Formats: sequence, structure tokens, C-alpha cells
Amino acid sequence: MMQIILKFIIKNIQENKFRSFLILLAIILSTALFFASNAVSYSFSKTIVAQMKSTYGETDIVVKPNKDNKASYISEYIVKNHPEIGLVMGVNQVNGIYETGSDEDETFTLFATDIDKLKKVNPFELIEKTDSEVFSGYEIIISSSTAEKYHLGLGDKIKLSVKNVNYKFKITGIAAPSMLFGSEQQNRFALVPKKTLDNILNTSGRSSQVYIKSISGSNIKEVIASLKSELKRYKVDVDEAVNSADIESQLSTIKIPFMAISILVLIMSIFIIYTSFKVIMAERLPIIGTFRSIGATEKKTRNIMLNESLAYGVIGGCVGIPLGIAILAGMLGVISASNPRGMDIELGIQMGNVIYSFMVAVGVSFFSAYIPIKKASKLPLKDVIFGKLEEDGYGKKKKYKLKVAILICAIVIPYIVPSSLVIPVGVLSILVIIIMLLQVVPVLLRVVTFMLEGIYGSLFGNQGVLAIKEIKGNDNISQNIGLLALSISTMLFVYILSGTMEGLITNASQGAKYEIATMSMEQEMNKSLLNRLKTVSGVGKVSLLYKVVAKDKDSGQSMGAIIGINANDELDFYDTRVRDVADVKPLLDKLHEGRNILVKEAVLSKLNLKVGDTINIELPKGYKPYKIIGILTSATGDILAGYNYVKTDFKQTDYASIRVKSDTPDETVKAIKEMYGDNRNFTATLKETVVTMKNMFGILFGILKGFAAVLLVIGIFGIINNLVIDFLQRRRVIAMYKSVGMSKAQLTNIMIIKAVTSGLLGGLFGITTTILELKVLDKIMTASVGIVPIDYSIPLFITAFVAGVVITLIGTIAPLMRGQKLQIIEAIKYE
Amino acid sequence: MGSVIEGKNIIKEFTLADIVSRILDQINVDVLEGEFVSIMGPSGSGKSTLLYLLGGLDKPTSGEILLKGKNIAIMNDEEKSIMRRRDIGFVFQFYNLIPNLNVEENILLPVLLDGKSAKNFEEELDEILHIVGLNERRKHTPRELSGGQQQRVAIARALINSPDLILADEPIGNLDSKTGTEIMELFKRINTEKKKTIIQVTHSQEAARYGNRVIQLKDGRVI
Repeated sequence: MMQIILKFIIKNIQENKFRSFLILLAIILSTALFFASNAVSYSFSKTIVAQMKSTYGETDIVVKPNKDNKASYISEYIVKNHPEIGLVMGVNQVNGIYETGSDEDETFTLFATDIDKLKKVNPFELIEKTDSEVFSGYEIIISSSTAEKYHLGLGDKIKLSVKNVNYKFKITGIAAPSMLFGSEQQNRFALVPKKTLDNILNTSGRSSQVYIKSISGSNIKEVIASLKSELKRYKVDVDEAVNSADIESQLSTIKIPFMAISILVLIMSIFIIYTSFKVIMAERLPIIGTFRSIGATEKKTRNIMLNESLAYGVIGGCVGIPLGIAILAGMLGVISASNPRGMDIELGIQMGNVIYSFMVAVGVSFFSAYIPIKKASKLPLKDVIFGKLEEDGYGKKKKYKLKVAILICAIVIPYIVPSSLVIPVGVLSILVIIIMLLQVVPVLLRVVTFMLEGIYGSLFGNQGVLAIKEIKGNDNISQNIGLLALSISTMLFVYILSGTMEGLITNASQGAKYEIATMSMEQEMNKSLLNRLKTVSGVGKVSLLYKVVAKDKDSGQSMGAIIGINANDELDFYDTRVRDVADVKPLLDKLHEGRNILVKEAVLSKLNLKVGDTINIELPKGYKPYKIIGILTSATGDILAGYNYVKTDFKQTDYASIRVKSDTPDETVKAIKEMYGDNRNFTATLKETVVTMKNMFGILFGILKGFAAVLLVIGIFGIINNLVIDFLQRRRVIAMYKSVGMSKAQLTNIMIIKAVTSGLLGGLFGITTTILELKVLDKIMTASVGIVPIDYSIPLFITAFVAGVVITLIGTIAPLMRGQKLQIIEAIKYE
Repeated sequence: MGSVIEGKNIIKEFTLADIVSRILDQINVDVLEGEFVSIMGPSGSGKSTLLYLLGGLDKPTSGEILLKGKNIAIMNDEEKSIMRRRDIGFVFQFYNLIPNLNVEENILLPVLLDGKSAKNFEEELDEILHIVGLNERRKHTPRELSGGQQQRVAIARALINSPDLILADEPIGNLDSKTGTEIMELFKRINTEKKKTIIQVTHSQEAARYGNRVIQLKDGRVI
């Protein structure tokens, strides 16, 4: 018996190739994207860890002066003998500029340490070397790739400029391009004697960093803890050299947008598999009933159906994961190719991710099919034999009410939660909005068709009314509208966000009158840094900025970012504009005269305020009233205030960034970077920043658009499948219409009206979902980065409508042609 | 009384797996205005096929079918559709109602397809609903009705455009005997009171007794 049922199911799968293909396509693509999204940050972190390992070798702890330490160098001898420490070595490194003779100079990272110790912990292979046994004086070891690129050989001298002083080094060794010499994408790497670099940097034998190798088997965390307490008085930071978990968690932000779209793809797959299995069950029910009537148990027949869904999951996982690896490789290839001087990102595949993604594939397939299968198996044997698979209307109505209530909650909640919770709650509500919208499409459709009936009656006559009646309560059409809405809203969301970000970057740079922005990640951004900066060659006028994210004390709402500016020079650095004010300077001066602020229109309308109002802004301790004195129309920040008030009220010790004017921006950036030395900093020309940002967002959104396109492809296949199912299920109804006098032309008109209407409704629901999602996103952005005016692009919305209509029209071609050829007698008589 | 529908030398053949079978062989029928004709015969004798050919739902292999003198075999789709809406009312064994339309909408379907306004047919609708006894059920959908009630809706639909001819394919084949009798009495009333010509296909001698002529078919021929 079981063999017969199994044979029957295999035959069913073979017979319904398109549906089987669709289910597999949905599982394969969603697994692939899920896998790739998970693996992307791991690949980044793996590459970064590998690069860091090439620098640190076997050393596992790094000691360096902390922020409170006035000195830039420490002695390696402060690390006393410790039972768990095997080796201590002081390291200095500095950038040296090599004039290549072409337009672009080459930057060398000059690395210096005790070479014998280095050989122990991070050995390198010398391909060529001179006879000299001691590595001393102005000797240098370069990599073979550097030698090749600049046609350098043993004994050649190269001139390097360190802190604007030229030094001539003699090449005494050429190393194989691995380990220390292995990662030269950004800077060329060179080894110089420690004493030589100490003299150049005037360190008196001290080092900017001390690398420590612990004895194998020791607990690094404990060694660090004990070192921290031992070295406390030296004002140093003691950290793990390479903390891969930390790196991965920092990179997890890369994963979030990809993950979000993967989840949407998963939702769509669940939707498609669930609806496909509903149809499968409805089709097979009478035959399953026949099997059961002759003795097959309910459990056995159910298990066979579930095994079918498991088979889809297993095949989907097996094909989806390699496809995911290919997608990941493609993504990383695009990222590497677009940034030739950046790092080559290695493909990182974790076994855990493979297993996890496989489980997702099987789980999605199994559980999406489980509900329709379970529902069918709960039916009494009599109903199964007669093929009754219908829910009673009352239960449905009750569930819709609950679903609509959940949808409304998901829309409203982000507006009422405290701003600290806006991000997690907002992300969750975007997902809930999407899921619930899919669920409530049938009820929305009922409302919309009720409203459209009259309009269609007057527009298209009785055929319009009949078309609307065909749409009303048609499960296949509401599923299609759901699929369209989800595909369209995801596309729109990604495109609008991408356009908004690009606009933001372009706008921010438009009013700028400075050339360079700089900020230090390690040093205090204070007056002494500002003064040092002024001495750097090429640096013209400088201007500081403070930045805080503020909240309205009374409503608890986030107000976006307050920028603290210096009114005296602001107009030299930024073309600040205020609505209806020609001469802005006196207004800017007022920012220093009291707690006065210039506010963007978006903030005012959000908080329902106007010029002249006073707003209580929440501060680290208490609050202070600020008076709104004008509407800011240029792009800097959401709110402008005097830096003196931002500094004292918000207890800011560091500037957010410093803007620099320069006639020679490129050279000046290099000089500023040199001034920072080893301290991590972000310094770039405005032009460079705009290009980098546009590139970065371009890549990110390019890949996201690709993911959204995959979703659209699955959606289109799902829609075509539904339209075919709809036709097959309604063959008899079409024949009935024909038997009472519907002509081919009338049938064509009705089918086209149906297709265009469902396309338009898909577009409408898609746009509505997008707007709801963007409203929540707006809340998230305001609470995290400041107010970002979202560009609700009308042409994109129109495109969405057109796309919806085109997709459903294309999907209708096959049913339309089959409808024309339909033989009334065959469809009615031989049912 | 003139002829409503006339079939001349009708031949219908089907090809199945390269084998040509002749279902109807040289059939000649002539149904006059006001007649209530029953086509009878054993399974496979070609009775339903003949009915569908007379109603223009299928094409004969050869021969002529004249509805009020017009050959329907050479009509195009548009003309045939108009004929099905205006000149003929069909009643099927399995009712063939549109599931998502209510009783009123199902009945008005031929009117709507004819591009006429449902409002202009309110009186006719009320009268027909009264005849078929479904006044109370006018807003119900087919699934909310019994088999007998669904067949009454189908009959009402066949009547709405006031056609000259009603074709019924085993109209009580799916009903219990009590309901079957009710439906046949309804047909009889329509035939006598509304003067409609009716052709029904039936297995039942009982049902045939409501008509005034029987055409007996066997192996595709009139006997």
C-alpha cells in the first residue's frame, strides 16, 4: 500500500513540474541568500584576522600607551618577568613616503623591532640577502613584490621621507611576500633596524607598542588581567592582539541589511510553500481519501506528505548552499574589485553556517507544509473521501480581526515606545508589518473590491463588475497580490533607501566650503590637537564641530542631531542657509548669545513646533530650554547650536570632527595623517569622502538590490504559478460563463481587467507597505543617526504600479490563450 | 406552429487514439414552437452530444442546425455567444452555477453578459424568482443552497432573457425523487404557462412523461 501511495506522490511531483520547480526554487534561493548573508561578516572578519595575524605572528598581547598617557612611547622593560610570558618585544612603526617619480607616491610602513625575536614569533623568508650578518644602520628589507614593482635590487638605495625628513636606506634583504610582507594592498611593508627607527623618531629606545607572546597553554584573558593590574601606573592599554570574536561582532552591522532581506526571502518562500501545499492537499485529498478508505492509516498518509516536503527541503539545502557560496564569492569579488587598493576578502565558510542554513532549508520546507497537511489530516474520513478542505467562515473572520489588530499595533508601537527601544522594536515591527500584510490581503481585497465595484461598473460596464466579482474572495488572486506587494515593497524599500542615502551624501557636500575633515579615534579631540593641526603644512583655517543626539524632554521624542558650531567662522566653512533670512551671520551670532537653535523643518513638523517656541532639551543631567530662532534649510545636522552651549550642557570634552581648509588637500591629508602617527584616525578630503561613501553605499545597495531582485524573481514565478492554478481551478467556471453566452472577447476583457486590477492592487499594497516600513525606518534613523529626509520618489511608485501590471499581464498570457481554446463540453461534462 | 430548431443530417465523430467513432449518425430532428421534447436512450447513445450540438456548445462534423432558420454551425464566436444569451437557456445536470455570485447575480448573468442593465430586469427577476420559489434566497450563494434549489436557480437563469428554447441535460439526474418531481413540474409550468419550447435529455421514463414527445436514440441513430 505505502509503495502505491509513494509512487502516486512521485508521479504527482513529476506531473506538476512547474509547481515542484517553484517550491524548489523558493527553497534554494532563500537558503542561498540566508547562507551568504550569514557568511559575509565572517568572511570579512576572517580576512581581517588573517591580516592582523600576519602582523602579530605568534604574539598574542599588545601593550601601548593609553589616552591619559602624555608620552607616545613606552619601554618594553616595564613588562617584568612573568611565569606565563615567553617573549616581549618593542615595536615601532611609521609611514615613509617613497617618491616613485609618477603622480602617486608610495607609502611604506616602516616596521622596526628586535629582528631575532621577530624571527621567533613571526618568521619571514629572505629570498635574497647580502652577506652582512648584522641588520643595522640605514638598512632595509623590502618584499619581492615591491622590488619587482619598482625595479629595486640588493644594494640599491631608496629615499624615504619620514615626517618630512629624507632618509636613504640600503636594501640588504628581499623577503618572500608572505606573513609580515604579505598584505601590501594599502601600504608597502618594509623592515628597518629598531635602533635606526628609534633614532629617527627620537624614542630613546622606547616603543609605541609592546608585543607579548604568552607561554602556550596559558589563559590569555588571565595574563591580560594580571598585566593590567601590574602595569596600571604606566598608563597603558593591555589588549589581546587579535580578538576575532570582537571583530566579528563589530562587523555584524554589515550582516544586518543582508539578513533583513534574507528573512524577507524566507517569508516569501514560506508563503509560496504553504500556499502550494494547500493546493497540493486540496488536489490529492480525494485520492488520499480513497487510499484511507481501503486501509492506509491517517498517520502513514500524513507522514508520506511530510516526507515529500522534507525531500524538497533536503534538495533545496543541498543545491542552495553551494549556490550561496557562489553568491558570496560574487559579492566579495564585487567588493574587492571596486576597491583595488583595499583588501582581498577571503571566502569564509563556517561548518556551523552550512549546518544552520541546511536546517533552515529543511525547516522552512517542513513547517510551511506542515500546517496544510495537519489541517487536512484532522478532517474526518468522510470529508477526506469527499475532498472537503474548507475552513468555516466564522473562524476566518475572527483570525482576520486579530491579524488586523496585530498589523495596527506594529504600525503604532514604534511611535510610542521610548527612544531607547525604537531600534529593536522598529526592526521587529517592519517584519511584523510585512508578515501581517500578507495575512490581511484577503480582507483588504474584500474592502477594495467593494469600493471598486461601482467604479468598474461605470468604467467597463457589466464586464467590469463581473471581473471585480471574480477577484473578490479569490484566494489565488489575493495570494498574487500578497506576493506582488512583498516583492514590490522590498524593491521600493531598497531603492528608496539607496536614493535617500545618495542624496544625503551629495547634499551634505554641496554647501561645504572646506576641503578636509579629520577626526582621531584614539587621541583627545581638543584644543591641543587643534593647535597641533594648525602647524601641519598645508593646513589653512580650521573649524571644530560638536555633535550630540538630542531628545525633547517633554514628549520623549528624538530630535535628531545637534551640531555645535562656532558662529564666528561657520560661514567660511559652510554655506549655512536659513529660511527667509538673507544675512545669516547675525542669526548665527545669536547661537552664542543664549540657548538659541536653528532647526530643520522636518524636526519642527515632527515635534509640532514653530519659530519662536522654546523646547526643553534633555541633557545628561536634567534639561535646559532652547529657543528656536529660525528654520535651517542647508544640510548640516538637524539642529544648529552654539558650540559653547553644546559643550557645557552636554558635557562634551571632545570635538566630533575638525574641518580644514587647504589649497593642497591631497598633500595636506598625507601630512595630517603623519601628524597622527600610529593613532587611528579618519582624515580625508571632502571629494574623497563623497566618492568613498558613494562607492561604499553603491556596493552595499548594489548587492541589496540583487537580493531584492531574487525576491522579485521568486515572486514572479509564484504569481505565474498562481495564475495557472487559478485558471485550472476555474476552468469549469469559465466554461459555465461561456455556456450562458460569454464570448471569447468578453472573456479576454474580463481576464485583462482582472490582471490589471490585481497588478494595480499589488502595486498599491506594495507602496502602502513601503510607506509604513519607511515611517518606521524614519523613527529608527532619527533615534540613531539623526533625521534623514526620506526621498519618497513618485517615479519609483509609478514604476511599481507599472511593474505590478506588467507582471500580472505577462502571467495572464498563458491562461488567456488556454481560456480561448477551452472546450465548454469537456470542462463541464467531464469534471 | 413553426419550427424552433431543426437538425438536418447531423453527423458527429470523435477521434480517440487514432480511432474514429461516430457518435451521431445522420440525425434529423425538428422541434416545433411550444413542444416539450425528451431525448432518451441508453448510455453512450449520443443524447447529450445531440443536445450540446443543438445548443451550439459543440460543432457537428457535418450537417446543419437551424435555430429559427439560422444555421448555427457557421456562426462565429460572437454570434454564437449572443445566441446562447438571448435565444437559448441551458440547464445542466450539475447546475453549473458560478460559485462566487449570489442567486440574483447568477440568474442575471445572461443579461449582464448582454451588456444590459440589471435594473431594467428587476420585474422579470422578481417574477422568475416567484416562479422558481426562491424569493427568500435571492442573496444566497450556491454553496448555501440545496441541490434542488440550485437547479431552480439554473432554470431561472435559463428564463431571464426570455429565450424561445430551453435545453436541459439530465435536469433531475442529480436530485432525489421528490425534488426531481418538483423540478419537472416547474418545467411543465414553464412549458404550458410561459409557452417555452423545452428539449430535455433524460434517462427517466417518469421525467419523459412531463413532455409531449420522445426522441429515442440508440447507437447514434433515431429509432
